[in-house]
Amino acid sequence: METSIDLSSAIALSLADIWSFHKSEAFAAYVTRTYHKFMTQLPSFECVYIAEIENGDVDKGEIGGIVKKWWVVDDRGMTEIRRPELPPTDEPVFFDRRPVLKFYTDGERIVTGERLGPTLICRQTGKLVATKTSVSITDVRLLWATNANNGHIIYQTPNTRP
Amino acid sequence: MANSVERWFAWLKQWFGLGRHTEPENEEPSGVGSTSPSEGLTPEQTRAVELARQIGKGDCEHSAEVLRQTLPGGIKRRFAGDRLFHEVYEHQGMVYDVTAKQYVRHGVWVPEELAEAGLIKAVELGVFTPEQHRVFMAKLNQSLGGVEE
Repeated sequence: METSIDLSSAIALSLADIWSFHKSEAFAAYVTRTYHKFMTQLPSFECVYIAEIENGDVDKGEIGGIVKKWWVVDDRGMTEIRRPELPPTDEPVFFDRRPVLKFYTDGERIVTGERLGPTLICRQTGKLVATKTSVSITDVRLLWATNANNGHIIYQTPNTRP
Repeated sequence: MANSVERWFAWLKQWFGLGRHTEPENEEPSGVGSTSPSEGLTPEQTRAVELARQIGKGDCEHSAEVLRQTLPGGIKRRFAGDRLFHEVYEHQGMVYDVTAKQYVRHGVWVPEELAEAGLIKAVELGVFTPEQHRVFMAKLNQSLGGVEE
């Protein structure tokens, strides 16, 4: 992809849109569509963490565990940070106080991992379209998501259901 | 440079059975892994590990979710640090970390160190005792700036 922008930061900035998005009614529709859950109340996140992951596979929609960069997003904007502050185990909540979005890119395509809560986890893939100043993610496809009602994983390819 | 990378992958292949596999007698000379939990796995646990490997592949969060569904009643544990964001599943005194192999790479865990620590079998199978996993994560925390619990 021919681009003069910092791709990592541009992708993170694109994903950071979740901060304003999560305060809108459209977010409730997104959660219902993705996780099959009707929300009665919008979440109130303390912040959202974004991680760029060094290892993964865009073809398989997999994301590894080695981080290149962390950012935090809140009312003050997006800032690169050294490390997040996350609880080591799941809290008994529907929405995490500090959700995490992670991504792996090969420069052309992207796989994103979203965790909004213990039963709100999904993987999506997409294509990157870059301009001189920004990046957008197109052709977004949901690979799998946990069902917010019972926690089961919903696969978009039925053959891979456990 | 290319040759050194090839040699490195040849090492990994030897240790993890992607090609010729090293005979097991020298794999666990010492360390904490002499009694691997894998030998005591029930068919249900073995199936859960196979499913997590097959479906979750290299994705720790996906694998942990598959394990949570197939072996209910455990807890997922997260490790977040400067360059680390990892998740495992703990169930009935065992730690399931089926994506542990991803950390066998230059600058993190190398096969010789795994063998010295007696962790080859646990990493290969993705099932650790708590003590084995503590040792495994201690090195990750050191290498990738993780947060010690």
